[in-house]
Amino acid sequence: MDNLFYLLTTILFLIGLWIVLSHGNLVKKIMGITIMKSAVFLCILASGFVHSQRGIPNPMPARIVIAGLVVTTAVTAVALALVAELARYYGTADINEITRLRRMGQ
Amino acid sequence: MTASLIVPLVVVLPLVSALFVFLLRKRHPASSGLLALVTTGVVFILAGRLAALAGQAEVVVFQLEGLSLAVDRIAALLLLVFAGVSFTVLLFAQGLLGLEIAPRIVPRYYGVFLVLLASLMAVTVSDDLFSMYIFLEVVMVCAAVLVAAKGDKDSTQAAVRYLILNMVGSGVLLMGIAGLYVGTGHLQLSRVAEALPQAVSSYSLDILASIAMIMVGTAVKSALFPLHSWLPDAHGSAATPSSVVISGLLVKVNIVFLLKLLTQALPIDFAAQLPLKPILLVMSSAAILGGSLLALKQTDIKRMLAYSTAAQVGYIFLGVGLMNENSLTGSVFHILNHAVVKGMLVLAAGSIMKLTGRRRIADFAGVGRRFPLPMVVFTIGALSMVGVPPLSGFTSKWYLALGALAEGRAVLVGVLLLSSLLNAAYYLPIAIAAFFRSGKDIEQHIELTTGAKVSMLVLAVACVLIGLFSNVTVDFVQPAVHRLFLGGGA
Repeated sequence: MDNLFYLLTTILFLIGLWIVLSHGNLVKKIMGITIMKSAVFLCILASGFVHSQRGIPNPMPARIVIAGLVVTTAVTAVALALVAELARYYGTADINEITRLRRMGQ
Repeated sequence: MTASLIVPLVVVLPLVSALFVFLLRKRHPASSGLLALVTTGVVFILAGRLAALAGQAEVVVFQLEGLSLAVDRIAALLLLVFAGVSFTVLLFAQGLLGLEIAPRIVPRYYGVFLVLLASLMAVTVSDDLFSMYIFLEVVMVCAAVLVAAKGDKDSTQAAVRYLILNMVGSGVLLMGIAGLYVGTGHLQLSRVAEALPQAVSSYSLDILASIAMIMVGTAVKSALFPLHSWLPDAHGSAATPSSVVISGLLVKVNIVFLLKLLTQALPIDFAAQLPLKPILLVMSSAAILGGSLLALKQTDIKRMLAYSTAAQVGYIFLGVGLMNENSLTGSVFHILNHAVVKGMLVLAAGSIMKLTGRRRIADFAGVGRRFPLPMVVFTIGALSMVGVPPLSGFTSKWYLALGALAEGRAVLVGVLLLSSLLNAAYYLPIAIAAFFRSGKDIEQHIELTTGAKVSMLVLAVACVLIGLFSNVTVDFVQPAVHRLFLGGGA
């Protein structure tokens, strides 16, 4: 039972990684990264319950996860803003398309 | 107690100053650069004071409630390097930044720069894995903003590429940190070190996987050779001060993270059991040679400097991978050395690019006669990179070579020598062509500011002095490195 948490979060992490690697659309890549990080945060949160003493979950993981979520949100916001800027230049958010347009431009 | 207050101050001061820069950017846009410069100067002085304290007491510890920050001699030296290089970059940027990015966003550029400096400091003084991760994220996102600040197609594309690759890298890094946390139940480096032997006996595979993930994440973020693909774009298309930040500081801070983790959280005898050493040595040798060979092929000066950075990262990882006293001293020394020298090279190349409007290496012929100061600085930097004895580059290679010989790996000395030759092959022709060949009609596009000239000279003098008095730095660092091997981590 204990290991089920970790197994599921690892699968979620790998799903996120697969999305990053398989999609050309930058917005989808950022979604994949968000899924990866959410999986890690779930894993940390779960550890607070697994190692709980007398039924009270350890509060430390929750504190860490909140800090992590804040910084992840900020990073994601900046990344999306930059992708939006890039899409304004090229009219697409697909990295393969952008690479092709850049090659043609040279 | 009062003396140890300096430790949080080096982090808080730039943050507060950044707040003022953002608040005052509408009403006093001209004052932001000066405010950033003065703050960085004060931080540099504070870091110098910390270095003096660490010289006496070995470790300066600050404790408040649950927060504990520790600065040993290595950390103090790194603080000094980060603040010093930031100071010279800001000095360079004072008049010239408005030429490279829209004047409207210059104050915000300084604000973001200060936040980045604060996070660099925070990573260095913190001894908690998760706080270090948080501040590495802040460093990453600030650097992306600094790259994108130029606002053209190329720099936006480079910033997106940099940010996406590094976000994936930091996701993998975070998974590794989570694995260590779940396995050991601690995030503080010294506690992790205590809990690790027991954790390894019950979940050895998890801990191994976590360490592997941390290594991969850090390798992406510090542009270790096969994973360096974001570096040339970001370095090549960003404004000159941003390029210095990327090569001199951003790449380094991730190595600092790895160095702290390997030396403080993993007991040395445990680290020796891992297959870390061969992997790191192979990767770093590949980085040294691969980076140099790719640099040789470049036609654009800034991209060449970027590939050179990828090679120099290899040197630092080589010292970390060898894991003995001499090699770690060499690594720490090379972090200092490369930050100063690459700062010189990028600032000199950047000012030549602005002065002449040229950025192709082939067009640099005769530039040295027309504009001697930047080219002389560039040449000193190039000679230091090659490792000509009185300059600083020689000392780091010397200690790395000593470390390699102590492990009985003479091949690595060969790698070091070969890379010195390669460095000479791509740096020196530029300097020779600039001074001894005549160029045709080199026009002067702008006037260099006094600040820019002074900043380049300061770095050049620092490079020569660090090289001449390298024993001062080495004697300062060596006791701290020695202590790590006695198992008394900070």
